[in-house]
Amino acid sequence: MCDLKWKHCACQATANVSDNFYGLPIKIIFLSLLCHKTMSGNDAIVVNELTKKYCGQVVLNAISFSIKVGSVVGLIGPNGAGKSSILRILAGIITGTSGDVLINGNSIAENVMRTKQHVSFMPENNPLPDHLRVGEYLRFRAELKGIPARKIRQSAEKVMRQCDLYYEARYRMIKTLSKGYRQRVGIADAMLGNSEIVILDEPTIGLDPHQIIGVRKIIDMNKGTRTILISSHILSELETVCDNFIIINRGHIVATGTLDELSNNIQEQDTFYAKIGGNRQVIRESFELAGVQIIEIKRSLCDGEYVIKFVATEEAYRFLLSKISGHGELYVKKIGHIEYSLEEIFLNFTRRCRDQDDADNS
Amino acid sequence: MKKFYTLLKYEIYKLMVSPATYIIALIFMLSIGGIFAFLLYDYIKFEQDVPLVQMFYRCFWLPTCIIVPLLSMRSFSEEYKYGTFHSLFSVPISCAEVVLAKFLATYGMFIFLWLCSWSLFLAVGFKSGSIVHEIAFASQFNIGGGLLFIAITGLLFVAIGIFASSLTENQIVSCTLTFFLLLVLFIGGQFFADRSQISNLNLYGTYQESLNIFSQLDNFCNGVFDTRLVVFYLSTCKLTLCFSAAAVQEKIS
Repeated sequence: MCDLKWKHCACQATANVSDNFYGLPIKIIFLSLLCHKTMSGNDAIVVNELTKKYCGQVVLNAISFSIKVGSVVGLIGPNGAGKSSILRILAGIITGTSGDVLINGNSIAENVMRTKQHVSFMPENNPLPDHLRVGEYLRFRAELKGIPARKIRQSAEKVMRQCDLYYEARYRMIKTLSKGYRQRVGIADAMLGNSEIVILDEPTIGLDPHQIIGVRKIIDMNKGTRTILISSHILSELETVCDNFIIINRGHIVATGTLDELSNNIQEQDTFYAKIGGNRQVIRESFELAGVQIIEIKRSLCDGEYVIKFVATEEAYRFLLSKISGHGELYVKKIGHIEYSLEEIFLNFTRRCRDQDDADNS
Repeated sequence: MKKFYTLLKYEIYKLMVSPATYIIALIFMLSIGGIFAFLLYDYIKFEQDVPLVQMFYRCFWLPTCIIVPLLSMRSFSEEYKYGTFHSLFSVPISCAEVVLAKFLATYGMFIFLWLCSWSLFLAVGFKSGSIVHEIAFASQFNIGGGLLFIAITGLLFVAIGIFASSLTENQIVSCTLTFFLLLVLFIGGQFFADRSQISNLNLYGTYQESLNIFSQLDNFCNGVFDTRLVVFYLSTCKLTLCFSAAAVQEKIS
């Protein structure tokens, strides 16, 4: 986001210079060329100050983010946060009220048909026409996506094999398919063709664990070659497949980054975690001696060891480590920085956002 | 253009595989068969000034009011209801292409069903040696004129059906709305034409004549081909389809 802002400023500055020396027409050409080059560089998707209003209600409020080519990004947020609106705008189905979106350097506002050629989209609930067979449907979609006639059969077969549809469901009517198979047909449709960007809205909803692993494999197969944007409420699943995350709440982007970056972001101080066996009193004394502040201490019911959450400086942490490891009555099973799960990160950011809103209202 | 043909092929296929289409066709054949049998019986029993063909096609509004709403009600309403338009519009095709494909598929079916009405006259023609035989074979030219008239006016009727379907996701609402709009067009047009004739108002010239559907039908059945009528129905059809495309665009966003 910072990069984007910087580039925007650079564009503005250059525009002013060119205005002074060469006049307005040259300014426009120069500005558009520079903006195009800098903003689309290594980014598959650039969203700039995008706002969407439905009947006067703001759903997306001037959001900006960018997604690198070949990355797998998870878009998460509570219900009604604006996830589906973002995905539909990126897919070119709906338009934003203001702002711009660049898909592989092409502006959606300028030429939506061109940008649609780069994007495959699987909508939420995966609606499919019931009167077609799986093979027929995929061939129909391939034709609509502009795949050359001689490659249609080959492309459809390829994705059917990838999604385990070829042997079992190729000739079956869509209306007779189970939920899992229908999801697979939707994913096969999204993977069909050579679109560089794949957008999946809730791809694993209603799938059993085996099928979820199947979807994960498909995403892994396309990792690096395609940019994949996934929206899902199954956070553990996203944690496994995604490199980067975008957290959205009430139409605002509240955080972006890798899991580590997000985890570091929510750690206000150096918070550590330890699992130590021994006497409770001895543990407390050792921590106090090292000048470490215990936040929470709990005894594990299964093995009787103590789970401790504490705040310490890097120096105090090292001192504590040497103190405990040299202590005869205590043994350390696990110690280190707290690793937050995506769920904890998500809850933390959305809660923080809600608290801030409440404070503003009061 | 290739994508448009793909869409058109898909829409025709959708109509052909749907059992509802065959039920609509059956309802249509029963209704025109009933009308034809009644008129034929009347024609043989009592002496008539107007030819049988003309009398038959004057009743075209009734089957049209039944089949157009039934054929067109699913076109967009179904897409809205099941959400399939989201995946449809995620590929590089425009609203206009989708509207036109749906319109042409429905219009094609409408024309096909009306062409079947020719079979009624042909069936009667097999009864050789009777008065019926003369009627049937003497009126082939008039049948062509009547069908051409239905083909031209059908452009607007089907476009109205598509427009009503683009407004709502409820098929019953779409069907009722189309039926109501067609009735307004038939009855209102006739009423408007009669009123302006009585009061000698000639403010709207061609429009007034064009709205008098039944007098235009008589002209066509008698071999008078009015190009103004073609222009009128083509332009109103185009306008209605533009409204439909706008309604679809609005519905999506």
